[in-house]
Amino acid sequence: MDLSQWIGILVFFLMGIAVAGGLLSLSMVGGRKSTPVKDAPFESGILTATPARQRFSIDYYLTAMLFIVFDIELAFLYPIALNLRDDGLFALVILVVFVFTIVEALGYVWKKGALEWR
Amino acid sequence: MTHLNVVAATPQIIVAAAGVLAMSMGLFNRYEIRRYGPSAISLAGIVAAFVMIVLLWGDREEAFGGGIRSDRFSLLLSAIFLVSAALVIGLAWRESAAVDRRGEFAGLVMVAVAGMMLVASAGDLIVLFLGIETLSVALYVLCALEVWRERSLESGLKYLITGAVGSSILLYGFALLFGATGTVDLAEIGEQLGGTSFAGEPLVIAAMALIVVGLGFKASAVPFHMWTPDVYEGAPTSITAFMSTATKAAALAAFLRIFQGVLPDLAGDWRVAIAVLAVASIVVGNVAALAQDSLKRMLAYSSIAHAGYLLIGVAAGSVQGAEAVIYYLIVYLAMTMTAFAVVIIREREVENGEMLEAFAGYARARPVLGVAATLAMLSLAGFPPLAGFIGKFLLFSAAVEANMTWLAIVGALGSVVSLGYYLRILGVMWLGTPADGERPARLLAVPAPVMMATGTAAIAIIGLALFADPMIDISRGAAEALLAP
Repeated sequence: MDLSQWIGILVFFLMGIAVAGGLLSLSMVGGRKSTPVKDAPFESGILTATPARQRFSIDYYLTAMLFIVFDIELAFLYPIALNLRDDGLFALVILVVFVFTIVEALGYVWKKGALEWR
Repeated sequence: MTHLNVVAATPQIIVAAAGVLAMSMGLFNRYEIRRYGPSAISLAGIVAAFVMIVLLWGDREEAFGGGIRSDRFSLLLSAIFLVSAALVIGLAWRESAAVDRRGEFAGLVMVAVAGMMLVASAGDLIVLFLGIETLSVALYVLCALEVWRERSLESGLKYLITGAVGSSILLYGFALLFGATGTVDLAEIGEQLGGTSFAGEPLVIAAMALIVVGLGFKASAVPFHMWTPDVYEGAPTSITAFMSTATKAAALAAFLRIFQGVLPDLAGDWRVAIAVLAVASIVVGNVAALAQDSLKRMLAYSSIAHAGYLLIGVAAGSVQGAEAVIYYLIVYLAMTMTAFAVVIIREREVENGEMLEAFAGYARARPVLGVAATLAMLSLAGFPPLAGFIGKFLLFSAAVEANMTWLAIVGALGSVVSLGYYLRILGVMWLGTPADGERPARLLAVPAPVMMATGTAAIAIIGLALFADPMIDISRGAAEALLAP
């Protein structure tokens, strides 16, 4: 079994270990000094205003998930429409089936009351 | 858009549409529609898809430019999934998850079946993976359908996590296979890898190893079985029955499609790996089942062991092996459904109805059900002349003919060990005395759909033995269709 063609992967792997290991070992050598800025949860120069552990209503996630579903549907519709343009009526049927399944899901979610804001 | 040939894909389309419709039926305000609509639509869809399967029966046809194949193999496997779904919908008639959420239950079962049919009929790797994901996602939800029961949620979550790991490993394997051959079309991959020029190629070996692991998760073969007992125990029992029959059939279909159908020339590389999985599954499944007190858990381990028996047929790497796997899948559907039906009936009557002690003297109180359970257990153990014996005989002889006699010996020894727990169940059912009195507590009338499903499955155990020859012929046709160019 000739493995010489995979040598690049090995080099890549070794370099990755060297970089990460080098950074880690350098931090051991230099010692640590803590300042208030370093200890802050964000180091982008922005002072934290509120605690990070806030609670959101579960409805927020439901709505967000539904948003993603429709967002992705839209993202699919454009390339599908471009690719199927030459197929005429049949393509229309395919698209209608695709959209129908999502509308059906919306109807289901609606009827189940997941869109009610509690 | 070269050759669509939608007709060849009608069974899949019918089942998926029935699933969507059944789900919507559960939304109606009228109680009758909510209660009976989803099951009626699903059963109608199953019958319609079955009719299409009979009409399409014949040589291979391809739909959607080769993405979906309709040959004897995919059609026969689809029939297995459909029968399993019909039985499960009958068995779940009064199960609490299914009554409160009838629309979701029937709809998701149908969606899972559509996914399984895609797996069996896949013509390229993408369709195969999509099918596996479709059935898995539907099953994650089905496992957790009894949301008020902690065990059910635990079952769904565990299945979700292990299932996702399995799927991602499988996908990695497919990606490497695509990398090695430059195509996702199964027929083209087969052509590229034909001959022996690829033997020992690291990329292909790694791809095959990852695919074996990924499918091993789905088929619950040892050592990828850890999730099985917990998930099977926690899920609603009808779903457990569905998982251990239809899902296993789908996973084995994927095994056969990929290894037997696409990579027959590389058999030297994958046969031993699958044989090792088979041996481990038989040993661990049968030995661990001996120590269980919950019938559901025991049947979960028994299903692990049966994954092992079935993998023997795959490891044989021959048409006889595939034929034996397909015949045994049909038999396994009948006997496992019967065994779980008994648990479902008892669970409705008493709390902890899945525990072995709940069955003390149960067969004496319900002789007909007792006989059905006896048939199922003896057939699972492989007692002649029942169908389970014929299936195991076919599997083991396929291993012997493929020069893997040791595999057949392990299988036979495993069957002997399995007698230990199957006969223990029967002993408790016929001879045991209930803890509190002469008769087992609380016997309820069995709903007609449950009775029909149980009866059908139990009669099939005898029927598949009596009419073994035509069934084996059909299975052989399906196995040969795998290798047809």
